[in-house]
Amino acid sequence: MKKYLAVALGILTAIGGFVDIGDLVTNAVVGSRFGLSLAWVVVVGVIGICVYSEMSGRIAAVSGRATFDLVRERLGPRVGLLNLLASMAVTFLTLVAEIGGVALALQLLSSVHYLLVAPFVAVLLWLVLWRAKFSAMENVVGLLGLALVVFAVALWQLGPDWAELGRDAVMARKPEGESWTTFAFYAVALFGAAMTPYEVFFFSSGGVEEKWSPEDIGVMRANVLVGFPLGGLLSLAIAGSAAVVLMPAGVTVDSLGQVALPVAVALGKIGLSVVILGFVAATFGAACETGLSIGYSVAQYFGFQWGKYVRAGEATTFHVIVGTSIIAATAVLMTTVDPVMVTEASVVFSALALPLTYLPILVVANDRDYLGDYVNGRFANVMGTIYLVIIIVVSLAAIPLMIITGMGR
Amino acid sequence: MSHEDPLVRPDGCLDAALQLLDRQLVDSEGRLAGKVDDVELTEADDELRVTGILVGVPAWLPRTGPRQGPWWLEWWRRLGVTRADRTTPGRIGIERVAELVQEVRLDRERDGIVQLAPGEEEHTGDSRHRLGDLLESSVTGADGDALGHVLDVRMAPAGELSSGRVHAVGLVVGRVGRPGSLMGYERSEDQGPAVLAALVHRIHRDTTYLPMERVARIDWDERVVHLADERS
Amino acid sequence: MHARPLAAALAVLVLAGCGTSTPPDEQAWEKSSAQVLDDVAGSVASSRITLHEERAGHLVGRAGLVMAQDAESSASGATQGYLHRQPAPGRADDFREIAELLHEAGAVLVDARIALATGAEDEYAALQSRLLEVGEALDAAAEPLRGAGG
Repeated sequence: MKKYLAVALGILTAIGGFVDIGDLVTNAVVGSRFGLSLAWVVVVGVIGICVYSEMSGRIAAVSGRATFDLVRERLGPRVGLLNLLASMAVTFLTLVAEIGGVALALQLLSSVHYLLVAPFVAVLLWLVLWRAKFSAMENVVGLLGLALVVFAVALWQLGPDWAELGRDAVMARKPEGESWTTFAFYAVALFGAAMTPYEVFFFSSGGVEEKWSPEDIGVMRANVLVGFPLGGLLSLAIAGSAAVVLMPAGVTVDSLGQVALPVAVALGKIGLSVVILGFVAATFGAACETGLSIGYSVAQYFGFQWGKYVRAGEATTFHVIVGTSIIAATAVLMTTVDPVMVTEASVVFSALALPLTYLPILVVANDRDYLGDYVNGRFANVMGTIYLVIIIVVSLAAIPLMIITGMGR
Repeated sequence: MSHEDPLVRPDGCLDAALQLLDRQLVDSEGRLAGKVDDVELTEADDELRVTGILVGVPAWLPRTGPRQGPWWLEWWRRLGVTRADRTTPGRIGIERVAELVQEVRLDRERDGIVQLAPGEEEHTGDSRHRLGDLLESSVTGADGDALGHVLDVRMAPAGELSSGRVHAVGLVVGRVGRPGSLMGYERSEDQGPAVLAALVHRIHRDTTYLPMERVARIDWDERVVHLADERS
Repeated sequence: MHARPLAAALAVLVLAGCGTSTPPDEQAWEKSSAQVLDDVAGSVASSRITLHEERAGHLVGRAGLVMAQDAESSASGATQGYLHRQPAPGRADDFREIAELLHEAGAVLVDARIALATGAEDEYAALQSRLLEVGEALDAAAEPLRGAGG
């Protein structure tokens, strides 16, 4: 009984954990501009994150190695260092976006300007990570993030022409007014939003810390293979409700309020309250995860103590890095840079940085020195190779598309 | 690759760059204690033995590249010029190693386990070297031909690391440097995925294995490994 | 040294990029005009939906005000960026017309925000129809410019 409860909890938090500010904003922007014609990218991205997380989860369970252990062991100290700096930069950008997201969501509720809220969010974040240890809060935040399921309810309540939506999705019908380059740019952005690298760092580091063993692989797979696809459905619901309410009116999403607007239209006050609660929980949870992930990656490269269970006194350097990142991220927000813009940039850079950590994971998932009999089977390798190609193509395309389209204008 | 391919690592051997360098150090209580930033090798009785694990910035920085490494290390020194031990790495004697698995397990608690490696001046003419230096060395044949660079050092007997008897038995030498050389594809059979394995094999098609008997002399200052005449 | 030619090339590129007052070619100008009209029309529509939902009692707390503020600042940002750019040669009159329309839209957005901030519920209906009107005018102005492709 207890075991089933654990599996259910894992799946539920995986759903909430999948959706962060990147998914919220990117899916709403894409929904309002392209309808569901880019839904296939979400599907591709979700399968990708399943393949990627399953491999790194298996490595964590069998060999007890987290992502940046492997990056350094397989790529050496030099390439590993460059890899670390690039991944940290992307995760840091995501942290800025998440803190901004929490502040924007609170602004929606209180109308207090988000720049006034942000420092308090940062302090709360630091308190949770330093004093309370995030592990105590993780499940609470993850479950509250499930409030975003209200997007699915809203879409159903709006009663769209399902057949028409389905045709848009299946046939990838690009709207007339948009060019193919912006279509491709948003495909890259959506892919980056679904396959955010920090999600995998966090997931596998958690596995290492909780001392997963090969017996836990089944539970891990259930979390990944059920939780993430359900999270992907949630993403599609966000895009769908934006497509139904905002696209016909010609509204293109550029603020968090507009992401929530379709829910208010469909479900009124209660819906809006629930969706804002979901925003706060999902972005706050993701801010904790990104903050920890920056600490994880540095600590794993240099080999010092890390962990969400470890007291600050036992992993001092780790907690100093996490704290410094939070301060620096808040400082970046205080330059009055638009958090929604930062979010859009962060998902594109996520797509750019993906091969750096994906390749070592794929290699080690095949290495009997690490995994013994748990190495990739034929199916995992076929998928792994297909996604290696996809990830490299997306990564190479990211910057040119960003320049050509001027960030999707 | 056939079974006779000497690149494939036989049982009881250990490829130091692949399996020891950059691994996690864990203390007796399961707490993390740094990485194997470099490995101390000592020349004794015509053998190159593993005698210690080097840790800390002065061990790690030189490994970030043959050109950048020394430059970064010089900057590291300038940030604390008064310290005589600024560029001396920390050392953990090999006898402290309880077990080498995916990680290097130490036999006691981490607090204070790292001591300063003996400084240069204290042992002139001494035979202590760094694995990291050997890994950047070029290999020259008896007739002066350049054969490539040392990509890895094969050690034996594996599993007895703390005894101090683990020594180099051969070098993995290749013409191409980094990309793929640490991934282990060139040295173990049927490691997937097939596409990646084929690619790495193609990049490393010139990579060969040289037993230590063929090495005449290692010039640690110039970082050149001189081979003896081939007497087959 | 490779550094010097590289630096020179970079300097040329940067300087070339700085020449903002160079008149753009006609097609690019039409494209950016259509773009700004669409963007502002989007903000106007967003503000209009917000007012509608506020009237229907669908919005909690001051969410409506925040949404109206967002729409206003997004529109004014787009407008400012556009007005600073030089119109295509011979299109100064078209430019003035578009500018006037953008200003008008900006004014209505400000009015909507003020009304939401003060809770002047009796003005909502009138504002909604003004937003609808100016939105339609923006769409109509954008229509002939859209032919440029994009």
